[in-house]
Amino acid sequence: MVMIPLRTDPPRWMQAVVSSLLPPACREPVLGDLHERFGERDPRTRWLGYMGDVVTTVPQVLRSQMRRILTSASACGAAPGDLRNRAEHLQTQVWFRNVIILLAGVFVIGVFLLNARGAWKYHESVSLAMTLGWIGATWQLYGVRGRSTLVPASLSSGELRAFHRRELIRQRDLGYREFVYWSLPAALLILYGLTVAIPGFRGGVMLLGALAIQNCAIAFARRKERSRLQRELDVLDREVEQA
Amino acid sequence: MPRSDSLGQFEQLVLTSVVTLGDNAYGITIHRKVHELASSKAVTLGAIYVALDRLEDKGFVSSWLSEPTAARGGRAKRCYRLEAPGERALKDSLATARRMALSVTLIWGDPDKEFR
Repeated sequence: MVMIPLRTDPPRWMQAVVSSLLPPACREPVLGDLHERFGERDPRTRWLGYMGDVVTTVPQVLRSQMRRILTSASACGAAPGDLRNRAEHLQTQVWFRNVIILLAGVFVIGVFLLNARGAWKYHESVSLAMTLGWIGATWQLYGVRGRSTLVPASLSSGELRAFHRRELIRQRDLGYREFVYWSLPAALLILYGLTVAIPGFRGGVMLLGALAIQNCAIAFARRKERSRLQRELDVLDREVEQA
Repeated sequence: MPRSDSLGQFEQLVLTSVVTLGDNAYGITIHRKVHELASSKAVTLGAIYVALDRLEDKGFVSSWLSEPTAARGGRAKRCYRLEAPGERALKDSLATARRMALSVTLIWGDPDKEFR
């Protein structure tokens, strides 16, 4: 008869998954506690118990660590970056967009100067939020403008149409992806940061409402832009068919 | 807004567990003790971590990492110790609870009799 040794350790792959989910600051003690509980459980229900512990523990630990890391200063530092990003979406009102970009820029520079003079120390998460903001802005600039400027000179009429078509499709999809994957989560994260970082913050519901209205406006503007690009595409396709 | 030094019921349970466990106060043992004290409620391990983080931020407890052990897969424990502000807050809570118990006893009689 083959004896299978009783497993007292959680499977490695499972530990690796949980480890990747936990913030480094509390990874070791939390993983150790989960490991210890796994060993104490009935062998038949260990897996299930471990999974249950992970599901009930990891989100709470993440939330708690976020609350500890985010301060009101970090939320204030991240907010102008988000505001600037949102202003880019409402491109029909150019003067309004420029004012917001200018004010946000002055605010960010002011925060940096205050920090450099030692008058206002902020958490390193501010730097992280700003770095992320710059990466996002650079990616957006590269995606929208960088690639579309280089049009090969030696293209035939048909090839040029095909190139134009690809470019229209890319721009049509880019805006939507940027909104869903970048702008919306960033706004929700900052709102969450404000509510957990500022004790007694009561503006959460109001801000959420304002954010919902703003996102509706951005989504509407994006939809209009998509429709315009789609119409251009249709015209181009008809021209190709006629040719 | 000034930070409140009063304790919630769950925080009282966690601090009581830290006091009674002494040097052996870490995630699992605190969870077990809280579960024992709050016999009617289901308490998750995650809730214990959240409460301990909050208490540490308030300066009521302090923590340190112990030596790694084999039972934990070679990982260290985060042990907790009650600090002076925590002791004061817990004593205040106990005094309030005692006054409440005394007031209620005058009206309802000894509530412990119902459970005997």
